[in-house]
Amino acid sequence: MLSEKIIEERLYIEKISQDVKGVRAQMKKDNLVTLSVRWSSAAAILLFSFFSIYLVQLNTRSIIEEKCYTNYTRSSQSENEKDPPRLEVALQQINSENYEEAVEILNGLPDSDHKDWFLLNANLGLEDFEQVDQLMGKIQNDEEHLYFDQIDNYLLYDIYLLKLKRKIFN
Amino acid sequence: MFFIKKNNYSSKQIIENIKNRKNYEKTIRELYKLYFDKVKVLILKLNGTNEDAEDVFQDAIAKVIWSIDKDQFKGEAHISTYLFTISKNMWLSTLKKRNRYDVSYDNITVDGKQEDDVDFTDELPLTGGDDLDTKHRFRELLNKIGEDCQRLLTYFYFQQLTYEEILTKFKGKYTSEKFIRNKKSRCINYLRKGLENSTEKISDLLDNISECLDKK
Repeated sequence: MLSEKIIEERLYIEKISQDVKGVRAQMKKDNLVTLSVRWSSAAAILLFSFFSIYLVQLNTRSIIEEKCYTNYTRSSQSENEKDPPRLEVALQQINSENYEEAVEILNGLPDSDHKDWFLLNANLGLEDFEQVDQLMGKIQNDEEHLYFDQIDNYLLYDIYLLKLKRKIFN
Repeated sequence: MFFIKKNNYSSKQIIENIKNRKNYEKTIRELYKLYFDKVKVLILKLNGTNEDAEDVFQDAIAKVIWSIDKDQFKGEAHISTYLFTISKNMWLSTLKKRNRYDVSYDNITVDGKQEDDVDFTDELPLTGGDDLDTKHRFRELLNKIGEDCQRLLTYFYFQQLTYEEILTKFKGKYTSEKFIRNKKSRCINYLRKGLENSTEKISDLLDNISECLDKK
């Protein structure tokens, strides 16, 4: 027959076991929280790293190279016959990173969609964001503008980042 | 001594913390952090599951705490050795009871290290041997015993209150100390019978003696 002592011991151990079980349950809960905090931190660090790398490598040149040339060659046929050669020269100046010369040439040309777009690119090269914003506004407000679709969210975001980068590093 | 890791608390500090209930929860957490994985590896090696490991280790900690609370703990070995030995013995007893024991299990090692052959029999509770199935049955019995019985036994054995103090705790529900004494005996008898008749279903057993438990 089991003695009262054994029952007493079992009772005591059971009581302590329940306390230990409570601590263990809390531990598991805390571990889950810690794990999720760690994952969130890792994700945030990763995101910040990608953002930093993107920001560091982002420059006006890369945007101009990506946006400038193809549109001109694709749509130049419909423009004034006299303009293409001078536009071509302006484009060459932009491609050679002679942005001031490009602006000078473009300012001497009659108004056109190409002129707006090349001016925007040249001013981007000069990091004259006031002019860039003005030209972007002009293109964005005209749905018929040849370069209307070029002012997309990516370009707006990149220009915003460029302004931010200039603020940080200057 | 094997399987001692560098930790914040020394074995002596752990014992003191438990004894004085100082940083009690933190100390239990520390025991889990330091030694649970080793016990888990052992239980898994011996065909146990994660749940078995959790149950066994929880019981091992409770037994060490009992030993410390009751001043039975001599501390001749590191606390980790106690935890490991208790866990191993309990799990082997469980396997024996379930007829799944293999003699090769006696020489089982963790990380290729042989545990020290230490006998803690006189320091620990339930010296007649203990296994998980009995522990689970006891828990089940305790859950079925009724709230009053649970409270009464906790007051008496855990908080070590006198019958007079227990009577006060029940706020007039029971009329005399004698009644409390009798009720305690009936509760203990129920638990004892429940453990002795381990083949009988708890619900049947409860039906048989519930009258006895509720008798005033």
